[in-house]
Amino acid sequence: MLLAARRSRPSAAFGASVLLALLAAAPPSRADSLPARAAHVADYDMRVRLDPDAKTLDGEQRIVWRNPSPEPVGELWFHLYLNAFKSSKSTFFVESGGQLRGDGMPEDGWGWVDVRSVRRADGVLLAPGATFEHPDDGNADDRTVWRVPLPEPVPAGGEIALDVAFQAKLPRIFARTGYFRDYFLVGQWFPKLGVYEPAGMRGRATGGWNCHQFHANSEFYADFGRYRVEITLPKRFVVGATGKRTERRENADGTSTHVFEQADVIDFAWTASPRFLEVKSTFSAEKDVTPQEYAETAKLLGRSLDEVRLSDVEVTVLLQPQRAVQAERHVKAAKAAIKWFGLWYGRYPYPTITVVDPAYGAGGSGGMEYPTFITAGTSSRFNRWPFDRVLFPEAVTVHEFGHQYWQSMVASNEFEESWLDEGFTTHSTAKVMARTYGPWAVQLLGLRIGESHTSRAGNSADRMFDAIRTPAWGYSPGNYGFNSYGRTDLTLRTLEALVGTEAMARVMRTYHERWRFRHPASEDFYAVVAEVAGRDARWFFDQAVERPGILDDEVASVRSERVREPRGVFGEGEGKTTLSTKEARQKEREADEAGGRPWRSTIVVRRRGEVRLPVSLALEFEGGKSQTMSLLDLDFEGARTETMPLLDGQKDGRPWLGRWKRIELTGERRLVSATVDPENRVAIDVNRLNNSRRVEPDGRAAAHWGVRWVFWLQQMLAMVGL
Amino acid sequence: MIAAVTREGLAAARRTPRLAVTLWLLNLALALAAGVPGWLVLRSAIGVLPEADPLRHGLDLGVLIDLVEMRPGLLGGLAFSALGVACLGLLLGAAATGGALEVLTSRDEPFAHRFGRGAGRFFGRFVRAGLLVGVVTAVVVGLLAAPLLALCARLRRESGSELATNAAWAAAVLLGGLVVLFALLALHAARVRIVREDPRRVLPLLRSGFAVVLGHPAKWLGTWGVNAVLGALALGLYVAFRNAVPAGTGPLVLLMLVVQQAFVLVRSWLRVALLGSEIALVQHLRPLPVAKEPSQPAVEPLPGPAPF
Repeated sequence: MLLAARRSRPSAAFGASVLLALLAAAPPSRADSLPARAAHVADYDMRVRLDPDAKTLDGEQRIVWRNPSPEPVGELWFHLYLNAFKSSKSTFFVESGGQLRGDGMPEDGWGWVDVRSVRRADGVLLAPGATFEHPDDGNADDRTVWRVPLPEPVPAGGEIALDVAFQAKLPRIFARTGYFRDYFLVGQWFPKLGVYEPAGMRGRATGGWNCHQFHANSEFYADFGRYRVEITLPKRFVVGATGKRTERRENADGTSTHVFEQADVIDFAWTASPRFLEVKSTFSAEKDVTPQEYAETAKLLGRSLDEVRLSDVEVTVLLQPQRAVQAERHVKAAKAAIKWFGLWYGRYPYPTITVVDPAYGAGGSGGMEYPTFITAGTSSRFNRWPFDRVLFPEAVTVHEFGHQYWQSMVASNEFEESWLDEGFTTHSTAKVMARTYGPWAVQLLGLRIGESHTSRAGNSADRMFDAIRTPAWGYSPGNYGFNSYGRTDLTLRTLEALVGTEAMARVMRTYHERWRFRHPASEDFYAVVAEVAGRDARWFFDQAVERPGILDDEVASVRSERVREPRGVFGEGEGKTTLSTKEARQKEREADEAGGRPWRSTIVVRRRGEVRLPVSLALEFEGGKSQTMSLLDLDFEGARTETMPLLDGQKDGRPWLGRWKRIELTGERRLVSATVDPENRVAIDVNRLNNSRRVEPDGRAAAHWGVRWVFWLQQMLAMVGL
Repeated sequence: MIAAVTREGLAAARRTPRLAVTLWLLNLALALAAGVPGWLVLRSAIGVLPEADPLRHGLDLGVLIDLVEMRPGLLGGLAFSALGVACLGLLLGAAATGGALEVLTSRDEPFAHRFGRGAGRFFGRFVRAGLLVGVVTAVVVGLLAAPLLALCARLRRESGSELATNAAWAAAVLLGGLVVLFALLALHAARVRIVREDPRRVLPLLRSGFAVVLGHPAKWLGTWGVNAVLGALALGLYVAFRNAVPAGTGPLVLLMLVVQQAFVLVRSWLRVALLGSEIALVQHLRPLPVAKEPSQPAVEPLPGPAPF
């Protein structure tokens, strides 16, 4: 048993006085805006027996499906995800080449799921007439989508109960689910209904099943319901699963039956291994969150203290024994995630969270999210110095917990809009990590890497070919990961800079509250931004999310030189006068001696990318004087720019949206440098180095590294014998 | 024995300070040949970019990321130039070692004459010896380490034991490292004997080099170990200085340069000491046979009166 997380906090008297002061400023409390329950569309009552030697599951389900639409539905569509691992002809295998996230499929480690029978609760057999469907790529060999026509349609608002018998063979772990020796991570293992989307939901014109094939780059999409699952397996296994264990029975045949239940979730996964070390701790809403943190959050969000109050959560970590020393790291990360995700977006509504440390050799099952059940990822090398300050286990734990919010509760369609869950989670994870552990996610022998560096490292002009909002299997090769994760993170940071930190916090809170236990689309997020931030940001999303393109603003050149005396021939006819170069130079010298000629400065700003955002330019002059100006333009393109918001401090005018602009100034001081986006607000800029330029080069940085480079060459020469 | 040869090596280094300076200058000259162009390229890339100013104080990962984005060929070019310098360094190192050993084993001519003589005379044989040892080492390392690495991969795939996998990996690295280390020791022993005995053929002395090293591993490792400890102390002092004094301004960059070159000079001096120790060690383990005085024939007195 672990102690509750130890925290240093101000004395009680100080905390109380802060609380009282902030309470005086807080708005009056109002009704809790968090939805308490989900509308249950698909309930699953399952019994499954694991044969650990054959690696098979024998299962029975009672499924109750409720028609959420105003029209009758005459068929049911199922996901049979495990059939993605059935052969090399599946869509998953063809697209992935048999690997995922660097893990290759072990030889002959195939898996599958067979539906033995499916009957209506009254006994009518439904399997005859069922067909495999291929709505995405027409691959007739793919068996991951199964359509079952019904003898009578389910009426609008009605329900149907089904009894399904199935058998599954688990694959060798390489892509999230399966087995490795006697470790089992069982995800996407049962026949699961797709989502019936009525007309109007997520922008649909007509109602229909949303049930995609299992692709290499896609994840999942399902309806909310209640799950009750009985898992029978040899009693030597330690079991963890979605939800809370409500019962454990010891059977006469040497097996145990574990019963887990959870309502208001979209999936159920479980794990079993005889080697797990089980560590339990409790997140305490009272002890693990300070009064100051509650008060600050309430103020930031403009909510009452009651609305931001959290609930206790039981935290279970199932660790590999050789990594027992990392238990506290996982617990601390889980609790930090429960706290900050809860404070910022809404309290975590479930009583439990289970964190699984995959077995060595089963890393493919790590880094994955299921409702109230996540798999982390670590290694024994993180047990001790110098790797104990590489926060990889923490980052994975926080990220996968984050999916409880963006995926499990706000259940967006991971097939079609992966940015809504992966990108939002990446963005939120960076904030939690920074808040809990400081700016550095990696500190290793002098090297320091922040969470933002990961997103920034992937941002490149080469990413110009994909829009963020693209079906998961539709990205150009190698671009699913960055577009779904890091680029979305950078886009949300840019949005935050545009609308302001407080407004962004309220946007995210409102979006979560409004869409908790529902299925949003991208437009729903845009609408929340417009409503809460008070301005339509569609112009921003059109460029940054809906269309391919990059943003790369640069200061292409800067010059600053004294105004020169004109020279040459002036006037017409008899009145011509000539000023020779020599005479002009003489005049310039005299002017300089008298008090100095003014300086003419010329700056050229360019946009190398297609994305154009309002931007400001900072100018630094000799003597330390500086000036920041909004880049405005008298000519603008199209009515869309009428709604373009201005940045804080901008003068009234229309933002400049052209491809290049020359700015000329004349003044008493020489220009030293010019910087576009001086406050680093535009995180999606693929290259910050070219955002500024100085008139005269400064060789100090190059000298520093030139000297170091020579020294490194000297060390290398010493190693080869010189 | 280790203490004695170490003392002899240090004494040799004290006797020939010009040798350490020469090695340092050769090292610096070749490094500058590649380093200066790299510095100029970097200066042209970032000199006018204020966003790169954090590089004055140390590594800034964000700036590095953007620099690679802006100049994708920069890192590749630097790596290529480093590789070229390494190849030249191998050749120049062979010559410099010949010159150094000649200076340490002879005292008949001026320093520059001895160094140049040794660098030229033994260059070909040193390069041949180096190539032979390199090839043999690569083959032996491959034969020994490859099965271990294959075992490693299998353990990682199948065993489920992180400990066993890491142990196999560590064993492969250790074994490979030991083979390389002993090969270098043998090469050094052979080079000392080449200079001492000036044979035409290299292979017999290479075989002898391996024999003397494998026959007395503790003495060789101990001699190198002492020198390595002294080198580590010097490195530690340098690292402590670097951590304490960030080189963000012009004068501090200059100070950094001076301290770096002082470190390189100390290391060159330690290298001379190591060569001196190796000479002494080879002499102890494979002493040169003492040349016999040719026997004087008996002189018979000439008949007749005695001379004056």
